[in-house]
Amino acid sequence: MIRKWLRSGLSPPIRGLSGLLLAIIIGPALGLDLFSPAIYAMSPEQTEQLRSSLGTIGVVVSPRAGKQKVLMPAKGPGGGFARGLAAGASFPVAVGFVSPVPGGTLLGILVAPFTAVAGAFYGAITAPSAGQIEAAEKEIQLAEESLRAMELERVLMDRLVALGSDNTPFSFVPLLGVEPPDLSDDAGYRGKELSGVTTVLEVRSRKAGLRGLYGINPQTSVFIELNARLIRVRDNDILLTESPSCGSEGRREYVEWAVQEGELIVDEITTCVDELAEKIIDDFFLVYPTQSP
Amino acid sequence: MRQVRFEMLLMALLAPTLLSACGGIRVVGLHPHYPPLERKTFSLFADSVKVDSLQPVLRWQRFPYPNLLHPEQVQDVTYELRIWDGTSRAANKLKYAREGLTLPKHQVEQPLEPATQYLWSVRARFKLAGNPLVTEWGMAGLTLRNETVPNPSCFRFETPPVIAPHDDPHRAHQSEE
Repeated sequence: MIRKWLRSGLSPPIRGLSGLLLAIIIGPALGLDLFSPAIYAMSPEQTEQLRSSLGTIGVVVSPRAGKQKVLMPAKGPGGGFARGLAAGASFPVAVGFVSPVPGGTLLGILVAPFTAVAGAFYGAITAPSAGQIEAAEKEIQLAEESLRAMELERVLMDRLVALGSDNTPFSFVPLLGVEPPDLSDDAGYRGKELSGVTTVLEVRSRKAGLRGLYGINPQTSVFIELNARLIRVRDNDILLTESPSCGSEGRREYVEWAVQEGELIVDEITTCVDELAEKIIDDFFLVYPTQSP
Repeated sequence: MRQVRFEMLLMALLAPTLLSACGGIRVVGLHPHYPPLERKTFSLFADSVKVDSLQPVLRWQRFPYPNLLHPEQVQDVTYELRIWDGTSRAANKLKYAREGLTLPKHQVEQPLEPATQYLWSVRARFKLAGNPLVTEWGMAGLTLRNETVPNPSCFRFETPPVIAPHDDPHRAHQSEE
């Protein structure tokens, strides 16, 4: 039956969305926390054992940018028409599939053509013009240049060292001039000159940009996702790994984010750098994973 | 017909999980006592609960938890409280923060904005066998523990609209003192 569903007429994005929604409902009911760092699944004894062996911690932040993922609005009446058609067709089907009403998907499929047509005309009228989008893109490029000039990887490294030194019993040192090795490199940090460091806290950018729900002119939020690893130098053993992310609660349209050379984006990203540094130090070195009964 | 039967079987399998989704709200970290947690059916996160003052007295669970393995080794417990603007346009600005609180309650010391939604969370800082540790930030519902705070799973409240001074229960209490 599952194979039949997979081969059904539902498009991949709808199957993916429906699967995600089902995971959100089923996972917690089965006691599975799908959005949890590994540290929260460890026992207090395990975390104590892990932290007792850390020694001096060297911090390295990769300067390489991660993937950029920006949810753009539709461009002009043509783009709006096409996106409205797609959005109008998929929405009732996705809702029908996850609703508790039997036969919801079938009803959704029957309704979809009508909502698709309505969506297409709505999209043509409401989508921002191509000129507006292109002007906004230029402003956002200026924001990217500002962020590059700020050398945020150095800011993050300094923040990690300061927070770690001030709030934990461990010794933190910045590993300036040390590049994180390729993920496929088995040697890792062995053989590198690390001045007595026994454990490396390595942070890389995974992705960043604007995210939100697909639509004609979507409300999006700024987000950054990192990958942080705690690596024992002598045997390149990965002690902990986590993918913390930070997103703005504030949502805006694309052209609104672009105002004044993307000033709001720059503010959000710099706030996120502070918050991510705090989260990494908390989760790796301070959190006591226990729950109230 | 086959598709309808498949959907009915899927719904029958999902019904227990959906019913459990209608039940209690999942919490990690310290449980909030006031304002209490509320959630609409099928909602992923907690609702914004109306508080009675622009300077509400927030209350939460005491640490250490009763089921902690060696509670006698826990020392120097303090609490850290943060409140953020929860309106969708305000980009989670930190509005209020206190640390070093010794009791599991705190009255906000300056008036918040009226008729405004806020996100809030609290955690305990303590020492265990001399080592500094923290509990995780309190969250409810679909707990986004991979995300920094604030995030949608933080606790929520909404302040009342502007009220006249003589109607403010906290001001009346202060003037009696």
